[in-house]
Amino acid sequence: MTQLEFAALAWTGSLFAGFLGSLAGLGGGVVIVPMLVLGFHVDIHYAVGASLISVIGTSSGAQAAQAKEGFSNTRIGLFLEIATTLGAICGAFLSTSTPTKWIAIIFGVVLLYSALSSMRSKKEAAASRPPDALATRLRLAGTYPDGGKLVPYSARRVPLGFGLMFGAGTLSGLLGIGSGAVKVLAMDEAMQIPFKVSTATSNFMIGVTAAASAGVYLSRGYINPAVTMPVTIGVLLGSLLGARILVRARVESVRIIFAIVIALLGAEMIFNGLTGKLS
Amino acid sequence: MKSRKAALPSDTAIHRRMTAALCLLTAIAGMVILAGGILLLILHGNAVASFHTFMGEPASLRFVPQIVVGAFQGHVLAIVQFGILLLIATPVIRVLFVGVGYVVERDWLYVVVAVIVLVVLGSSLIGHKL
Repeated sequence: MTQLEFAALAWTGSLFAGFLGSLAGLGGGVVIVPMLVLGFHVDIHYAVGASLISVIGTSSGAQAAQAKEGFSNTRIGLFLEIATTLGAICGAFLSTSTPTKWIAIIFGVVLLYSALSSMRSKKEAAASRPPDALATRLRLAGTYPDGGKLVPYSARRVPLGFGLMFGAGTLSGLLGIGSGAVKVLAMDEAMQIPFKVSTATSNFMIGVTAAASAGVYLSRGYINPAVTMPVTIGVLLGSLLGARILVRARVESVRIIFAIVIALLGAEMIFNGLTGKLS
Repeated sequence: MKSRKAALPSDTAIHRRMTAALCLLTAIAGMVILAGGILLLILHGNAVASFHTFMGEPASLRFVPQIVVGAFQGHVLAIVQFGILLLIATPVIRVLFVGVGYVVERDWLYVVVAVIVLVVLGSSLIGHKL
């Protein structure tokens, strides 16, 4: 394959990934690494590096589309970024010492989890419990607009959420994904933040988290311009297109198809990891 | 979001301007990557693409000063890498803006939080020789 052919194919694939990812509300990042590794036989470190950069692009693009909604909570996001950026650097360092085989298997497990979590129906938790002492001290609270009213909320179980965020950051640095699914889990389930707020806040955090590990990847020589270029441009354009089309509701059928694709890719990554085909 | 309590920096005019500035930076980064990529394909499009074996990029494509110098000398790979660097900088600048917002609000606790995040981000970019 020549550089031109590689660029054209990787660009097309990434465009689709970004487009479907943003329609499905999952982000295209999760399918980039399997696509490059399984489809183009790119070394997993280069693939992870390229995927990280595309994740930063998507996050910045998505912020522009979301800016007016006012759901995102900057304090919660910024505070938890301490955990995600430290985790991301940790994950980026781990990626050198972790054998390709294990990266593939962990990746597969995360893909399966993301597919499952995207199928889960989302219900807002019943409102106001007494706020957490630590959350009050850190002012991790706010309000969000819902049906013309402002609904107050406050974070709970801050240490657990912080710990989970460190884990999300580590996965992001190790696998080159936004790990939005884990971030939303930490905020929804552990900290009991309403999902409208957690989804918007997680978008704010994804780019910062990815930037932390991208720095390590870049200085280690894992960012290959020829691989990263078509992927980043493709995902960026694809997700912008997706955001244009998707003005309001998520397209349910797209989400289901995307979840199935992710689950299959996850299974294939685990299989390839176990049989040692990737090393 | 009219109540005073809800007036987080996310609602201010500064925030809107910040979003516009970051949007512009993202677009510029994308265009630099695209321009470098087109040049790369014109010059080396027929070379065989082989990314199967990890070799690691040379120092000229790994560290910020070398990348910037290379890009301005017109090395195509360095131009792509410079665009990538701009993209990495976007969220960092966002945290910087948010931090400045808290300085304006005199919310010192969150100024400290922003500084911690910036230090962690900066430490990753400085370079790790391993």
